[in-house]
Amino acid sequence: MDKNLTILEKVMLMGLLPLLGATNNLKQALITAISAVLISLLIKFFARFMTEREDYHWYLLIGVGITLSYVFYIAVIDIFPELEIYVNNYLLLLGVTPLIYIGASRSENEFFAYQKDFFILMIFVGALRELLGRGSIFSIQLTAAGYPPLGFVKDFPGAFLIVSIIYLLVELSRKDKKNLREGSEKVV
Amino acid sequence: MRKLSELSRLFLNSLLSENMSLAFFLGILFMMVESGSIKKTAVKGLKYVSTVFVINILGWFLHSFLPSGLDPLNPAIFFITTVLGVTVLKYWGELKGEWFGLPKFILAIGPLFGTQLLIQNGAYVYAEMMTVNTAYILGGYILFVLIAAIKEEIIISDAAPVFKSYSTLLAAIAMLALGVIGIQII
Repeated sequence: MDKNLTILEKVMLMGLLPLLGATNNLKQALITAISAVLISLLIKFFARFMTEREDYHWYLLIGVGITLSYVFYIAVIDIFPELEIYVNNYLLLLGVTPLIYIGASRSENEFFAYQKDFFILMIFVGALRELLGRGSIFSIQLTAAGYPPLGFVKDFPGAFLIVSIIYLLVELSRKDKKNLREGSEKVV
Repeated sequence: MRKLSELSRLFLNSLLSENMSLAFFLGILFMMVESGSIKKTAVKGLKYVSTVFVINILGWFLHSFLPSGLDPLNPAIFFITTVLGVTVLKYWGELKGEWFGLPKFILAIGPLFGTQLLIQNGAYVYAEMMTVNTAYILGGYILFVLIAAIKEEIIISDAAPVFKSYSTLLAAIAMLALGVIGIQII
């Protein structure tokens, strides 16, 4: 299933943890997406000093990633105390998300395409989950309070379902249908 | 008697509706990518959950012994124990090679680090930590084998190629999660 994937599909896999966990509402998704992109840029900068890619180099880089996500976690709460309710552990867990290390990857070169796709996906999933699960956008109630269109979407099963539907839409919209068919048959 | 009932409830919650993988998504990526045939996954799963179990206990002991004023150092402690866990998994022959240009062990960093953080946030005493930890790994193991079974079914099915992707696997996990949330222990 890992063969012949597009950048968007790879982004959905590599960024699965924040995509599922930090998209409960749009503000949370936005904070996490901005933090993830900034941390990824810093990681890319630090990766320039990695001349080799031995295990201990990666451990050092992951240590830097976890430290950065911790700094962001504290900074967001300290600088914007009103946003504290929108910050959860998934901001701290950005440091263990494979996607933020893509700038240090030896085979994936389109760093900015990854970041752009991740940012858009986070916003889209966050908006969809807030709209369907709570009936609001940016905490502005659009449906009758207490009567969201699909209440379970704000919980963890909804996160899986929304991401799976988006993944399916991405698969269906692929232009290289022929390659997709070949790729999938290789798996069989 | 009352204590036992509380621990039982904690165990059932941690096993199902508040499981580290299902409710907190820790290790889902690892399970989706690393699952192969059921037989291989069953063995790999044992290595994975036993490592998570031991690392969680180690992390809990280390952060419990740390004075409360040094709590900001907890992520550093959890990182060190996580690296230890990855080393053990690699010693057992797992997580070798690369995944999209990144070392494959990066898949195990999330669950190893995240579960320690989750247990720390719970502020559990020893008995509670052991209960939660056991339920986490038991639930995680069952889910890992289930994901492998679903993945195998998806691959051999007659469905259109577009459905033989992670989207179907995620949808299947969503259905499983819906079933679990439906039997939430109050």
